[in-house]
Amino acid sequence: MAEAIRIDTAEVIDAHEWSGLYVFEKYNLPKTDIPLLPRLAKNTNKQNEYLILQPFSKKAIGSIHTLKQLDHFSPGDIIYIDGQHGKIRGILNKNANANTLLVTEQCDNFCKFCSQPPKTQNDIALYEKATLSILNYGRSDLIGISGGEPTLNQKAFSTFLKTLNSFHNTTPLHILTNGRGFSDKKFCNEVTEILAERFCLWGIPIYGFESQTHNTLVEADNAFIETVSGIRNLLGAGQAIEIRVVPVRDNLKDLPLIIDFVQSNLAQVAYISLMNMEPKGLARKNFNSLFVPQRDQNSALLEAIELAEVHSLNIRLFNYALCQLDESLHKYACKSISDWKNYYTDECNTCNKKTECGGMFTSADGRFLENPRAFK
Amino acid sequence: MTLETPLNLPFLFRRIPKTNLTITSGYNGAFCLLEEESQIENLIRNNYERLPQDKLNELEAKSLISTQAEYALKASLHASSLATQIHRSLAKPSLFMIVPTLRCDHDCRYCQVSRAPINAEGKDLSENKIDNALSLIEAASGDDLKIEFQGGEPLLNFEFITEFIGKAKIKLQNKNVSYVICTTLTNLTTEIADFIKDENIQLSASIDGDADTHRHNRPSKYYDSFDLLQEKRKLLAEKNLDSKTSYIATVTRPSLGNAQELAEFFNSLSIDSIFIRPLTPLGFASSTARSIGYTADEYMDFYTEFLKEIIRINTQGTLFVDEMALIHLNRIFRPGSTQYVDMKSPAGLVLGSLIINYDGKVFGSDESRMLWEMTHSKELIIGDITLSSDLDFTHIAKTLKDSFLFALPGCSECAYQPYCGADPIHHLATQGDPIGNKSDSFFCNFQTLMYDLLFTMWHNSDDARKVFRSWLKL
Repeated sequence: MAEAIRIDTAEVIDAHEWSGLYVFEKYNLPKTDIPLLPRLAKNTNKQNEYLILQPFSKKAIGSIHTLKQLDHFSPGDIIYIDGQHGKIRGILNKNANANTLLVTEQCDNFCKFCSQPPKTQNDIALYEKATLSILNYGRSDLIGISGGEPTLNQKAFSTFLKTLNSFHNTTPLHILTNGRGFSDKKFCNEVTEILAERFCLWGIPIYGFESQTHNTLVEADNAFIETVSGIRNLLGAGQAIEIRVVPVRDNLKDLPLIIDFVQSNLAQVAYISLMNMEPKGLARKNFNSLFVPQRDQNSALLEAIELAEVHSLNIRLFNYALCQLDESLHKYACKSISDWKNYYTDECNTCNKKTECGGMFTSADGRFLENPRAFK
Repeated sequence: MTLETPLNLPFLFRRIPKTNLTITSGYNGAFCLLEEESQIENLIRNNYERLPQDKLNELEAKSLISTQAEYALKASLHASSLATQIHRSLAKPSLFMIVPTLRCDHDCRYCQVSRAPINAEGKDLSENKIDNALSLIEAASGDDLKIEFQGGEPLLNFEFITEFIGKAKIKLQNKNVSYVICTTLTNLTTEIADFIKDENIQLSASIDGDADTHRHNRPSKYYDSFDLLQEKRKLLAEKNLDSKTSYIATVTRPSLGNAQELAEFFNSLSIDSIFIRPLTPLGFASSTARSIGYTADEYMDFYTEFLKEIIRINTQGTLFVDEMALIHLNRIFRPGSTQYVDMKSPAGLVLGSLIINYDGKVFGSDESRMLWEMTHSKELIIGDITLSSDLDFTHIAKTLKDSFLFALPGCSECAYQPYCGADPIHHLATQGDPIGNKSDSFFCNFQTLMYDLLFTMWHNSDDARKVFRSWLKL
């Protein structure tokens, strides 16, 4: 079996004192036996060297000889040096199919399939890291903001956006939120005013067409009403909304009703995304009660998609492997699994649809891997 | 939803005649078709436990009923939907019609006020009015607009069109403009065809049916209107303009018994859609009405057969769209999406369209122009480009104020209200009052029967539903 590896990391040594965020640059450094900059890697493949710059100051802090894994990085990328574990981790990466920043691990929902279960400790440092990363990133591509619940600490969230504004940064953001905070009109107005000059797409989950199913799946009372009011308020303020639905055993047959709900109540949404569950975190723990094989989701997905199309709602499938979907659904499937958490099995490597397919979640191993079948 | 008693949100309903269906619809545009007489009774009387679970789920998902806990939220969502719909309707007009000439070489039976003899004097819009027309359009339009040349026969004043488009390219360069010429095609030349191709203009041509029907409805003193039309269609094909041409058919009384033949005829033309419409009961004498006119019921009996035949053709593998049905399907499934000016609330008058007549007078709709030709009522005029490019909405605003369907007698309680439109000029012309008595209105009867037909087919016919879905995907 092909091994599931993350491509957004590289080894680094002798970097204990260098832990932190840096900007990555490529320069032709002189070939010399007496390096004037600290060497962060032992690999002495004498080719170009990569330079690592301190954010803001652009002061060089060290250099690395070519390492194979570093090919993934490009000038202007934001990297994190984890000196303790001897790793370089990509934070914002030009070559990645999606860049997402985690700004908190705290959340007021407790979704049964959460891939990143919430924690309670103070983690405001994550917001600082995210702010610094965005401000120093050399590009203006869409960046995802994820949690936890990014708006749980309302003050941190608006300060984060205001700080970006004060540096005249206009990076478009894709913010994943449960939307509950926006049921407070005052907060909604405050945030949308701060966002006046910035494009934002809000990814907000609706897991049922009424409170009971949704609240049970997110394990929070009143979540459905707050989320839907939040979406209503954001739409009223002219914001772009993506509705995210994770089909699981509890709501699979209700997918068409969820489409009906969106069309009847929130028809101005920009997208509906049906997202196959990632077998990670709580989803792994609750796997048996939640899991429906992708193959068994096909008819419900098709019914939901046909209904969405009748209403001209823009609907897409995420995290589904093409070999598990009926051919009629292929055109709705996005090659969506982030490249740092997907992999292709040996079977995938013989498949002639591999380049169009997002492959498997890195976490989908062992019994969590659904039998891949190559298209030949 | 079994733990507590649900509550009804405000919904409208109608028992669809000759079926066991009742349609319920909400201000949010959602609908639910109830299948037995008892279901609507049970819904109205709050006997929810007697309704099947799938209907309860559907009604709840569509916010036609609600749990008590969600009631306040759902009520506010209804209010938001209604506000959105009104906000969207209060838009700038996107359709600008221009009449380069009233002269025409046809003597169509259903057209008496919109044409003048081919050599009549003073019936052309002068090229020196183009600057004022463009100033008016620039000021009144949004970013996207359609400019439609109507007649008379606009190609009889082709010089006006070329000059207009040349100037519009400069004046409207920051807007997305598409052009349509509504034409009989009979004056099409190679030169005109090349211009149409180069400028990416759409053509809207009339073909009322087979040779006999077309000649009967659309005679010309100067030539055989059907043969010449076919000849010009060959020219379009040579110039690869087929995909740029759409066809309109107007139905007159003699065709009522030939629905199937008519559908087959249109399909035989190798065109991919047809817009078939009833007569506008404006602009011809009442003696003519007796020979070519009909009631809405008579028309819809014909149209039902016609649509069934079109669906049969589609089911056999040919994609052939009935545009009139599609406009209504769009209204049903995508409330607020269509720009079709007759189907707006408040009315599309001025808010959807403007028309500049050959004499420079500006009106809020094509019907207003026709009514002015018949009555010369000054209240219909909203501008005159021979004087200035300004508009005056004093009189029209009163008419528009009375065109919100949710506040109109005959519409406020109609289940098709979320999908329908107000047509005040039609009612002004036919009943002398912009609201009118809907039970006696051709417009209302036609729309009501149209929605009855489409909802019934959507619910009862798998074939029709499949075909409708395929059209909605286009």
